[in-house]
Amino acid sequence: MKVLLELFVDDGMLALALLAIVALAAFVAWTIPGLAAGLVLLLGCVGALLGNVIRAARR
Amino acid sequence: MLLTPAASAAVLAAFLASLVEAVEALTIVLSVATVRGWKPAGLGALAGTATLALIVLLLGPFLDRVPLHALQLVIGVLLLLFGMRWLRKAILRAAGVIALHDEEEAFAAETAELRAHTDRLNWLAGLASYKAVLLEGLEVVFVVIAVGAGRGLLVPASIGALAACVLVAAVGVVIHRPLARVPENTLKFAVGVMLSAFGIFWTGEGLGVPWPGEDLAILGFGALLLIAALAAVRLARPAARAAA
Repeated sequence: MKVLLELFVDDGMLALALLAIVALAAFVAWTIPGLAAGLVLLLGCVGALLGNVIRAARR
Repeated sequence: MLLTPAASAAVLAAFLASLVEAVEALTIVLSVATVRGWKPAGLGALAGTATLALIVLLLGPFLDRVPLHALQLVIGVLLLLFGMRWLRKAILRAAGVIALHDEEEAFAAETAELRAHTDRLNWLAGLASYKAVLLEGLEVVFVVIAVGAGRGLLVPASIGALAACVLVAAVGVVIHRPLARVPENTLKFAVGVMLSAFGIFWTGEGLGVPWPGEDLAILGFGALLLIAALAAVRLARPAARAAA
């Protein structure tokens, strides 16, 4: 099970951030039909990756 | 036969991802062969391949029974986690924050580990080979399903993955050395970008997002992720130097 989990999760904070973004995008898709959820998903994922990498580099 | 942009991207993503996984599996199989001979290495690899085939045969038919939107959403989220994990690591390696993966080094470490257990039986060496093929193979199977299942692209994705595995196995049999010259981090960088682009696309499809340009949106996401990842490397380099 641990091995399977490690296929998808390396840095727990990045995984949590991505799951939170998907949950937010799902909420937006449910309340505002159209592209808004897609924008939340796309920009949120890119932002989460950039933030995580820069934080890791500063550590 | 002309491939659609989505099919071409699926073939390429499956080929490149499988190339990386196959190179990693080959390094361990070669370590076992060097220390304990080809018999346990080959038997372990064959048993790993057979187990993988069994898993695919047993679980494959269930894919057709899952509703398409649910399948796209689950696969999209898993692909997003999987792709971003690869991309994060590739960015940190390119920026010099963590060390590059070295197949020669991995080969030396695995060989030393196997030599340390001289009192153990050959089947333990075979088990290392089995585990490597099974675990790396599971990643290949996941990538094929993830990039192919959402739009009926399982066959082109499987062809891409199979071509990569056959290529690596053939080169490995001929040269009998780990494929250290394969630019693994560059491949991981490219694959991370592609898998993350597929992940965003499928997750959005699963949530009912009407992506402009439909399948072509994957190429746009890939371009945006590539620009962001290259920018991340440039931003991370000085931050890592300052922290050192």
